[in-house]
Amino acid sequence: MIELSIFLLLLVVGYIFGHWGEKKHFRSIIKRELEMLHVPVVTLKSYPPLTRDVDGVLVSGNVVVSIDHFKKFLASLRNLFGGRVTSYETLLDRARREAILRMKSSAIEKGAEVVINTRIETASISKNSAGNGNVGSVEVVAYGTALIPKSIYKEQN
Amino acid sequence: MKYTPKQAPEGINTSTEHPLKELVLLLGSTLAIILGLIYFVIISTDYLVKYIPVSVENEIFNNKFTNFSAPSAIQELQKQEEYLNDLVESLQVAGEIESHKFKVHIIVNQAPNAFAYPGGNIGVTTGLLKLLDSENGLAMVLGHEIGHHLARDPIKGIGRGVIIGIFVYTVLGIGSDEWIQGLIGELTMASLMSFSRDQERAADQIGKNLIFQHYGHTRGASEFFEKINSTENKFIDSINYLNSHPSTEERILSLKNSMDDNKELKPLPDFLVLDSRS
Repeated sequence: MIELSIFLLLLVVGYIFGHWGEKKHFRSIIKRELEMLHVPVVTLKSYPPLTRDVDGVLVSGNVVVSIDHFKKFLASLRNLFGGRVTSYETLLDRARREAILRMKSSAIEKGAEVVINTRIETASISKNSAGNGNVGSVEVVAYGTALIPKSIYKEQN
Repeated sequence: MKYTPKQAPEGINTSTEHPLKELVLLLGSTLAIILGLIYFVIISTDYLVKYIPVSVENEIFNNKFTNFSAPSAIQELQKQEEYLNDLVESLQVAGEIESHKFKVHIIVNQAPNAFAYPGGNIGVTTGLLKLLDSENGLAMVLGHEIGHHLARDPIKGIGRGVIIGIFVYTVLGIGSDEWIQGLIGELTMASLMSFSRDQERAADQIGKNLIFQHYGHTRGASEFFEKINSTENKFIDSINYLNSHPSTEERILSLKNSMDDNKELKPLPDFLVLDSRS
């Protein structure tokens, strides 16, 4: 009984805070994406239309995000029937976009005009213990080459 | 060509469906599958139970239900239990029931009630003995429990109890928890006690037939229910008994036969009523 009520409590807490936090996070992501729209982030290895001399600097953004018990329970139920694991989809979408935003903001800080050769990688943390009832988390790293005009780059260094 | 940055539209990688809706849907279908499974297993146990020979049932449960009464009371109640066993035997003879062996036990409890336990055991409370006036009424109650035994209802109940217990055990998954074990016991007991309305009606019919075969008439068949129904006995804690059963009025109607109103009732022997403990 105690174990069952703890489980239910975790589920309710997970839902309330997870749902509220996710909504808030999505609002903030959309707002910041709009603010940083002027710096393109592309996956091209070279970016021809630049007219000025630029320096390339590595920029990266990194996010670790954890699932809550509600999401985990929903996903485990989904495992029985198959289909889109929507509870994880939103989580990973948030992580990806947040990682890009963090990378972008560091690029903007450096005065970059564009970030090229952007790559996104993900790794799961505590994957092995996830089977033991622990809540796992996922890491998303976005990295790329920020192209900074030589004049600005010299000022900084 | 000029580059104009644009924000990607939302909802490509995510779904807008409310998580609670998904939860209800998934949990609902999971529960439906589990319940369907339980239902299927219960149906099959009900079906298969009749292939368990009576002798095997008796062997399994013979020593399980012998000490209902407090140990000190066993000596005192011997005479009464003997009388009840004789009554059951005469009903058996009258109904030509040779396949079963029955044993009646007296349960010291104020609530008038009778039970059919697996292994041919029949429990009768002291409250019931006090409530009834005629042997015919008592024979009807015993005949009713015999009817349950003939239909194999008690062992069906055990089967259900075990199945439900196993499912509760597996789903809640905590064997060491005292609360869970208590719950399993309760569920087993509840499914043991709660026969369906159809089962009750069938048992009533068998009981009625038995007392007709024994006494030659059915007067007294409705005595127990009439007593239970009468206002002065309403206070008796019989709510549990009546809940799962067909309504008392309905049963009185089906059992009472006005043709037999002038027939003679056999009184119960005096020693049967245990005033000191009731």
